Amino acid sequence: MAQLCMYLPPFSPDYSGAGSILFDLNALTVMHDAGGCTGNYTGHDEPRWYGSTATVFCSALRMIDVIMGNDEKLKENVLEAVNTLKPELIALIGSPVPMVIGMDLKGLAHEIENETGIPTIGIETTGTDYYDIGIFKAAKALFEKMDSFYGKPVSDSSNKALSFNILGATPLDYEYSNDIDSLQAFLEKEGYSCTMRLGYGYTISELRESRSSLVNLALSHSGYLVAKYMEERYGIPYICGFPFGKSAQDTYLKILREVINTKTSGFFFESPFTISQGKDDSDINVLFVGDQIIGESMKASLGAGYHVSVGCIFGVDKSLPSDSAIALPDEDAIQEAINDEAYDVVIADPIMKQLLSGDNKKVFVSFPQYTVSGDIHFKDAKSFLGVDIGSLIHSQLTQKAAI
Amino acid sequence: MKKVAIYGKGGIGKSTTTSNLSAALSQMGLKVMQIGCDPKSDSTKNLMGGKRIPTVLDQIAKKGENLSLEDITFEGYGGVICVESGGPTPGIGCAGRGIITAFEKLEELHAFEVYEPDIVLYDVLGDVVCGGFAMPIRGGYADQVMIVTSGEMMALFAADNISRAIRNFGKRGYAQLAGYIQNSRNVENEDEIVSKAAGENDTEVLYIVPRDSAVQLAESEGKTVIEALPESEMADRYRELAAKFVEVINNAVLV
Repeated sequence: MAQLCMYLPPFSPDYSGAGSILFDLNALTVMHDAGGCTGNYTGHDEPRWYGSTATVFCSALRMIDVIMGNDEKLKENVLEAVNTLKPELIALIGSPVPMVIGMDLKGLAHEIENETGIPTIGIETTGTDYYDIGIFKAAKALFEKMDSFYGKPVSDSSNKALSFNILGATPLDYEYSNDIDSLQAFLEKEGYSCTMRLGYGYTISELRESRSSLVNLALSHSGYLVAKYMEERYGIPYICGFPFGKSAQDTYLKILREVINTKTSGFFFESPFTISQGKDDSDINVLFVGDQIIGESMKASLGAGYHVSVGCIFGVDKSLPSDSAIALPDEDAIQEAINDEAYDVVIADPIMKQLLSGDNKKVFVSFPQYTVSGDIHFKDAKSFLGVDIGSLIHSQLTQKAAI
Repeated sequence: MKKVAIYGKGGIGKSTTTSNLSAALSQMGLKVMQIGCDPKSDSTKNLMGGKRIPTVLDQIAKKGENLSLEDITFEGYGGVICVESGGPTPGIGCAGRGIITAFEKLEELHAFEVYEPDIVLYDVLGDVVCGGFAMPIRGGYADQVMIVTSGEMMALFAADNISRAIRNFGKRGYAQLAGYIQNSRNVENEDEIVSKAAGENDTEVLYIVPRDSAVQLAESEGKTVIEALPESEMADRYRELAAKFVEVINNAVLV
């Protein structure tokens, strides 16, 4: 029963990640499911849904259609919707049932593309992975489609000058999107130009252009997966991590320049890069709970004086330079970790506060994550970009001591 | 009511054997229901004058909630109630889940209570490839399983797999393996080979059906041997098989 959650909701699955990437495009997105997956995505995993005009549909898959492999019904419905909506892209997103029976979504996408002349992708999400995998699968399908439908990008260094793409910054990755705006503005002030923010405020045209950008900014694990893929496919190096805190931004810029000059990917949080220096309270042990890259970035931003463990609730990626990552695969593990007396400070989604025992003496720093608590703590999301997290922790510790 | 599932390798003669068995049982005055569990849906063809009947799944797709028992049950030769579960086109969908759905629909429409058959025969596709194809073995459906096999290696291999599946379900109190029905292909030392293979699975050969051209002759007319050539020697063999079948199911001590 290790996977049983008594207090926490299930975290956003892969199909929500795929939906998140497609949301801003002029796409006809169809989740091939009975209704629950689409409802979960639009109702709980997509803050942009209410009031939007995005065309995300549910295929209303029924048992008899699954058994008989009635692909035609889905195809006919898509073709009908295409006539009305005139999308630039069609995307079919998989859910558990069609994937268990091995439904050929990519093949069906190929058929639809042949009949409509509109680029069509099939994303074989299964509902058994987390959102980061869905984001990656959707991004990979998008880039493959851009290449096959419009042709591979023509290398032209003049177009690439100081251009960057932001990857891994959907609302599922960063609940407080203003931080991404601020990072973009900061870099643009330094002479860089943003070609595309994958999944958030972008167009098909920008997606096509992004393949010729100079560098990728991978801000979370989903972004890292996409950045690695783009490096392999288009030769674009990446900088991985997010500069929490004011001083971190300068270091980030320094590493970014190095990545561009050497054309070699780098990690913002990798030694020997350290950000903050010499805090007095050197015995502060911190547990971050969430995405591995965001956690490592916080650790780097806190720097000396803090011993940070990165509790990874969406899996540990061993390809990352991440020596303090610990796997927290289920609620029991999360509960045990955040109650561990070794930690003075826990940085986690506020919904996890209920897992703390009543007599704990910890400082709990709220870091809302849409993929964990949906819109429950959306209004509580705050900026972390320009915030010195060390000072924040320090002041909360002082307040706690005073009580 | 006794319910028996007939399994065996694809193409080994399950449907032919089952249809002739149904026809012979009906001649003994028994009310028989034959349920084909194969997306090919040709199990009952020779009981229906060579015609295919609409399948349960096709009818569910067509009629939805308005489906009635009359839409999926058809009376064939000797009053045998014929049902075909049906399934998807090869390569798509989920045939296994299809069998489960068809069974559920038969239950929902109270098929057994309405027709009150003495014997239900499930004629099941090839091997036990997934949960759906094991459905006839599972609780509440068949009481016993009989496996049709020849002395050919691949047929025996499939028989072995099916036997293992039945053993695998042993602890759950599901259907028991009653034995093998040998559908002869005139392989050298066939009787000996099949008998040995049955023994290896702690069972026995219940009956040896000889190879006879009467089967093909009857099938060319879209009939069972019992119907087309009732006076033939082969019809007598099928009647003997039916007698043995009744003896086995009556003597079975079901756990």
